[in-house]
Amino acid sequence: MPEWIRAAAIVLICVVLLAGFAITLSMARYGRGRWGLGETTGHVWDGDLREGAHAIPWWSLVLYLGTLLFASLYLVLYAGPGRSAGILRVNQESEHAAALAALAPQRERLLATWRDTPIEQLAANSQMMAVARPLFETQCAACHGRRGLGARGFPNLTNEDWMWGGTEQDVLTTIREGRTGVMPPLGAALGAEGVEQVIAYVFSLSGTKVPEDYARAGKDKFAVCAACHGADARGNTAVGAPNLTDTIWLYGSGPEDLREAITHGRTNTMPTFKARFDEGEIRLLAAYVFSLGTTARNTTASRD
Amino acid sequence: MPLLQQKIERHGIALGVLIAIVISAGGLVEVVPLYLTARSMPAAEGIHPYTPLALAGRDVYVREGCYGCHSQMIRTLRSETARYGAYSRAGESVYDRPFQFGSKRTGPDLARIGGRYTDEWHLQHLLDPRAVVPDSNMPAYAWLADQRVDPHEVERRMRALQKLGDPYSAQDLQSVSAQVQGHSELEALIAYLQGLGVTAQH
Repeated sequence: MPEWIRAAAIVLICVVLLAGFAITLSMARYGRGRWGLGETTGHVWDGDLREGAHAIPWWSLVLYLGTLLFASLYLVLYAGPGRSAGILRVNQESEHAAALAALAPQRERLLATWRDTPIEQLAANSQMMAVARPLFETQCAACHGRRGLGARGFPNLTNEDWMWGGTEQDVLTTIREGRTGVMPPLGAALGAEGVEQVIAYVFSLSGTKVPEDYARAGKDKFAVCAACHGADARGNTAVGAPNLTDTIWLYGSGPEDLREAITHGRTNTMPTFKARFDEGEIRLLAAYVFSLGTTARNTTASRD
Repeated sequence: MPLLQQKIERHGIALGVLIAIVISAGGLVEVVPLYLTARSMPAAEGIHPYTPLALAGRDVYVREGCYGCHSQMIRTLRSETARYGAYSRAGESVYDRPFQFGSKRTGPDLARIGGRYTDEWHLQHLLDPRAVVPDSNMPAYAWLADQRVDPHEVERRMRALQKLGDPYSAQDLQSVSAQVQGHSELEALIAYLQGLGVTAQH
């Protein structure tokens, strides 16, 4: 059915309904069948039950017609009926655009400030960090926690351990482009015994007491891991390979956690945010991340 | 007393028939345009019928009553578009039967949740929401990991949607088994969530 016929039909229905209501209501006061005060419709039930009938009072009719007038004006001024955009051309989309436009100068000013201010200065500016906080809490906290303390599989942002590098450029790139770290499954290559030996060696790196012969055998087999984690096992921020010599564990510090990682591998992704954020917001968030490192050390570690 | 009214009121059958006509007219005026609108509402750019796995996930979403706490409707308010992304449009919901707009937000809106978090995050979050969001009050849905998606059931649902006008091809229906066989309901749900709102550009 052509669009205009549909629109016309809707307009017609609206007009007929409104006119119909107006006529019917007017008839209730002025129609041929009006009754005087105290009269009844003439029905009698059960011998004595009668239905009183009286023309509606003028004020009631005025109120009714007033609502119809209001409805008519509304339909003319605002969107509808049919595809009419209304005389005022105001709708929810234009209201949204107006709300954005009203704040646009202020927002542009802030974004420009964030783009041009060194990140270090932003991080030190408590006012700016107060603006950054809700942004972090709505967009980053689901994974990294409200205070940036992370969770299993989601890095803690408050320590000095940076999987993908801790320079300003590194952090900006991480937020902007996202990161995907892949650890290949090595269970088949190492064998069950080999996996246990490598686990022992990795634990020995951070000072855990392990059977020495196991650790020694693991050290020989570590060559396959060294491609990413480095011969000294201090990791490689270029590929997001974590440092294995500290006591920070992304997926938990139990032997079963390492066994799972070595046997089946791990893939971890940080999503890209360049489509969601302006460059200024990305810089502000990077500054917020750096500010977490300095504030969280002074608070008791609670993950939320 | 007006003659016509008197006549009608005194004839029960005539009154019944006329009442039926009036009510049907009112119903038709309200219902018919909705059918026409549903047909004339084109899918927004980039909106395609759900893949078999996502469709299975959508059914899990509906079955578990996720709509009770999560809306999928970003309203035209600055505060909402700043948090969730571009506001929802009618053309994005053409393949939702029924739509999942919802009206209650105990949790956040999910209309554009796709791609915002990783699959791994969703996995952990559905198994135990507190593992990633310590103050979350969302229930855990761990058992979904143990329940398999039934390919025949998905295919039947796709045939039903095809009858309602969703453009599934014969090839789509043939590929159902290959796409959902062996997947858990948890994976299906994540596939559904990860597709929400990602195809519609602003």
